[in-house]
Formats: sequence, C-alpha cells, structure tokens
Amino acid sequence: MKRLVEIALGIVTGIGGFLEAGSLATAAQAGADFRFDLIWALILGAGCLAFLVEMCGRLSAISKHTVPDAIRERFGFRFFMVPLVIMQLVMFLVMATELGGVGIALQLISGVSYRWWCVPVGLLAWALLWKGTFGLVEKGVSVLGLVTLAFVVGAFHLHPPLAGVLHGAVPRLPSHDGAHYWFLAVSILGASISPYLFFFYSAGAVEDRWDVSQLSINRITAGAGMGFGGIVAIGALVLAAVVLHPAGIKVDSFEQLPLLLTSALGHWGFILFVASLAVACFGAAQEIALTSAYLMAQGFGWRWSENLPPSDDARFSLTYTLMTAVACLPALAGVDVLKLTNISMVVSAASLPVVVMPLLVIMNDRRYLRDYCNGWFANGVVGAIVLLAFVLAVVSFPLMIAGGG
Amino acid sequence: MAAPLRRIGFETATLLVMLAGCGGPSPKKAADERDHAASAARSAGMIATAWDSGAVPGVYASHAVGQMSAGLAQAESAGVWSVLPVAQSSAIRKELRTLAVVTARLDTAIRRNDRTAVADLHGYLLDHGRALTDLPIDTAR
Amino acid sequence: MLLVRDVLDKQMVDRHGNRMNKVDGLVIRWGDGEPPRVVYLEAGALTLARRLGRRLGGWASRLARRWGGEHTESYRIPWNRVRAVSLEVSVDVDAAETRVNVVEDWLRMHVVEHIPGGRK
Repeated sequence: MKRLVEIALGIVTGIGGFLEAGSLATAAQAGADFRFDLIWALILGAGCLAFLVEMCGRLSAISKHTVPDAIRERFGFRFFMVPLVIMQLVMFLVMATELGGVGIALQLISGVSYRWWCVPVGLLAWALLWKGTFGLVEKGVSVLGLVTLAFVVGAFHLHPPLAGVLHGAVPRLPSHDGAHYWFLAVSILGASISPYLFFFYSAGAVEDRWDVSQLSINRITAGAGMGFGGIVAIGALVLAAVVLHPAGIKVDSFEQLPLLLTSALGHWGFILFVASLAVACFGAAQEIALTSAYLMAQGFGWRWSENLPPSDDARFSLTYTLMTAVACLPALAGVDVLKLTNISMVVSAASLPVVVMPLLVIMNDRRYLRDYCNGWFANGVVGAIVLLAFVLAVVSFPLMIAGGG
Repeated sequence: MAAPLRRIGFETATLLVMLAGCGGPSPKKAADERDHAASAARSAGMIATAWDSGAVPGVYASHAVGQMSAGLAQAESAGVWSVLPVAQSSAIRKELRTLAVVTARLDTAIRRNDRTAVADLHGYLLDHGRALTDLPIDTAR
Repeated sequence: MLLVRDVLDKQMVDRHGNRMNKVDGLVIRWGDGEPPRVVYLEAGALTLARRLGRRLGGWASRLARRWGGEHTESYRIPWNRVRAVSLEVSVDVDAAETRVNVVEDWLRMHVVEHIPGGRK
C-alpha cells in the first residue's frame, strides 16, 4: 500500500512538474505555427527525459551519490567547472523566465505589470525554501501542479481531429518555414530535457533516502510521470493548433495564451489558465533555485539538505537565496518574458552535452552502480541522446538567429 | 578542457556566418512583420469576443488589447518597410495606423463596458485586418 | 590504490558522518630512494584555484595572504587520519574542531542568523 502511494506521488510529481513557462510557450508556438506537426518533438523530449531521469534516480539510489558528486569525483575538479559554470548560467536564465511567468499570471488577473510582481513572488519562493522542507517543495509542486491537467481536458473538449494528431506524432520535415520549424523543435527539446531536472531528481532521491528497493518505483515514476507530463504539453500544443492556427494568430506574447483555455472551457478556462501558469512556474522556480544550490554544495562537498534548517547548511542556503535574488532582475528590468523564454530554452538545449556525456560514462561505472550498470539497450539510448545533444548544441544558436520569433 | 573550447569555437564561427547573412531589413522580414501585425489584430478581436461572452475579465481584456495596440503602433513606425517600394510601404503603414487606432478604441470601449462599441470596432478590426493581409509585398527581390 | 581515481575529489566525511568538504588536493612527499607517499589531504579554495591554473592560484594566494587572517593556506589533514576509502573518504577528525568549515561558520553567524527565520 505504501508503495502504491509512493508510486502515485511520483507520477503526480512528474505530471505536475512537467509544464512550465518554457514548455508551455514552445508548445503553444508550435501549435499556432505548425498545427500538429511538432507533436513528435514533445514525444521525443519526454521520452529522452524519462530515460535520463530514471538513470539519475538509479545512480542516486545505488551509490547514494548525486549526479554533481559523481561528475566531480569521476572527472576531476577542472572538468567539473565546465558543467558547473554552464549550468548555473542556464539555471539563471530559466529561473528568470519562471519568475517572469508567475508575474505574467498575476498580471493577467490584476492588470498590474509583471515587473512589480517578480520581487514579491521571488520573496515568497525563497521564504518557502528557507522555512520549508524537501517534502514540502516536492508535494507542493506535484499536487498543485495537477491543475495543469486543464490543458488536457481543454484539448479533449475541442475534439481535435485524431488523424491530424497521430499524423503529427511521426517525425516529419516542415512544409514551410524550415528554419522556424527546426528552431521550435530545438526549443521544445530544450524545454523538455532540462538538465536541471536531472540534478533535482538525483538530489531528491538522496534527500528521500532511496535505496535498491526504490528502483522499480523509480522506473515507473520516470516513465509514467514524464510520459503523462508530456501529454500535458501536447494538450497545450493541440489547443494552440485548434484555436490559434485556423485564425492565423501567431504567439507573440503570453497575453494571448489564455485564449487556449477560454475557447475550450469558457470562464473557468481563464481561471485555470492563470492558476496553471502561476503554479507551474512557481514550482519550477523553486526547483531551479534548489538545484542551483545542490550543484554548488554537492560539487564542493558542503553540507546540504533542504530538510536541514538554513543555519546548519549556510553556504547551501545562501546559494539558493542568491540565485533567487539575481533571477528576479531580468523581469524587474522589464525584459520581455516570451523572448527570454525562447532564448533560455535554446541555451538549455545547447548545454545538454556537458551533462549527458559524463552521465553516460558514470552509468557504466561499477564503483557507483555495482550490478545495476546500464545494459546495452540503456547505453544505446543514452548514446543516441548524447549524439542528439551534440547536434542540438551546434544548431541551436544559428537556428535562433535564422528562425527565432 | 580542450574539447568544450573547440566546440565553442565552432559555434562562434557558425554564429558569425549566420549573422553575416542576417543583416538589416528585407522583403521577407517585411512579410513576417506584416503577418505578426495581422495576428496581433486578430488576437485583439478574439480577446474582445471572449470578453463579450464573459469568458475573460475586463481587466485582462483591456490590458491585452492595449498591448496589441501598442505593438501595432510600433510596427507602423518600424524601419523594416523601407526596403519596399514607396507605394507598398505607405499602404501598409496606413493600414497599421488604422489598426493601432481601432485597437486603442477597442481597449477604451472594454474599459467603459460599452458592448455596442466593442461589437462595431471588432467588425472594423476584422475588415482592416483582412485588408492588411491582402496588401502585396514583393518578396521576389 | 590509485590516488587520483580513489581519493582526489572524493567527499570527506568526519567521524560523526558529517560531510566535510571534498578532497581538493593531495600533498605527496617525494623522498630520495623512497617511493612517494601521501602525507596530507588538502581542502580549501586555494587548492582548487591552483588546480585551475598557475595564474589563478597565484592570484588566490595573494588574496588569502591579504584577507585570510591566520588562514593563508588550505586546511591539511594528515594521511594517518584517513580511516577508510570507498565512495567517500572517512577521516578520523571532528569537522567542528577543524577550520574546514570556517567559511560556513562565518556565513552562519554573520549572514544566515541575521535573516528572519535563520536562527534555529
């Protein structure tokens, strides 16, 4: 019975935690510009994420070490500086986006600009981390995040053509505007396969004291959780395809996005959209702040745990404090949140190789995984993901120049 | 450390090549800008309809439509139209100006809760939005 | 035992099981005729700076001499205090008695406890 609850919680966390500013914005743009044609990118992204997350969970459960620990230990401090610096930059950009997203949600209902909201929101996110525990953050994200299922409900409500949806699930070449199509594909992959999610998941496995007995839960959580999470994003894409594409509307601002749910669910649609955006982005912001601290603390060997009071892990706590403060700045300065989202998704995609490549090596290291090393199939999949990651790293910036916006 | 640095070098080179080819305004950029402006006008119309049916509150509708209006005004004064022949660019600018004014009035009407005015302006918006999309742009240059 | 593989960059744990920085460096004595022996484990930002490059190390040393007070060198733990080496390096010291946590303690006293909710 307890295992069932754990599994359910894990799946719910995956669903609730999947959608955030980046995946929503990229899915909406994809639906508006290319109808159902980019659904395959979401499926690919969710699938890769599921595999990678399962591996991180397995690593932490067996070795009791997190991914940053293992990267530094296995590759040395000099190498570790590369993922450390790159990931902190990526996390700063994505967290700024998430705080902006919450600000936008509050702007939608109040009319007060998101620039005024980012500091109170940041403060609240920080306060919950300062006084809260890991369990609070994890459960908060999962349970509240279920509101994002509104996108799935809304999509069904509009009766999208099943043939079109299935058609889009198969990878295809663009029928028009190639550069923009591939730019969105890269952004979708960057939004889905966010490197900070692996660090967060592996730290969480250690926070929750996982061991061998959690391995099957880990597999189900990763697969079903990320899988169903991907369906939420597909829901957003389908809504954009059915509501915005026929009207020839292009997504240029988050302000247009409530239309996705109002067309399907009327007045409730507006409320659910605002709630989804606020909750999803808030949860993601907290996760990223924590991950930034996990990365520093685990890489340098400090004491760390969200379950400890801040006075017991000062450096860890001050890291997420600093990250939260700094991440408020772009929104405060009035940076366009959608543009920031697009940029941060591309940067996230480009940063993948520095995390996935070391992970591939570590997952075959018997000292960490004993009898649970990757089999040939898992290695094949991660190997393919590594190749994909390198392709993304090379093409992402040029595509942003040629096909962005 | 060498491998990541080499990769960054490759990316920078690609970036520079792309940047070299993506300089200033071009007819294709003008067509894109036109499509985005038309999309903004249609969004304003859709938001107005949603407000009229009670699906969205006036606070949101007014703010969003006001944002579309500001965007259209900005599009009108953009430099991208300068690559087009004078006749085409002035026709587009005129249409954008009209759309900016109409959406601004739409914003005011929503704030005043004037449903009749909103309906009228919405119709006007649809007509001029269509007119904008129908204006020719020579992308063959 | 391969030092780089098994000891360097590993997490150190004190006699109570608390995390105690990572092994940032090793001090090895090269004797005449004797095989090289590890004499100390080193932990500290100074050691890390040196590993990143000679210039950075020199700059960090100068900073440490100006502002480090009594702590101008990284903290060293004698090799004979190492109890076990597995995925972690267990060391027979009490972290609270060492100055490994000097930054942590300073931050706790001067920053964390001044922030509301920071005091236990």
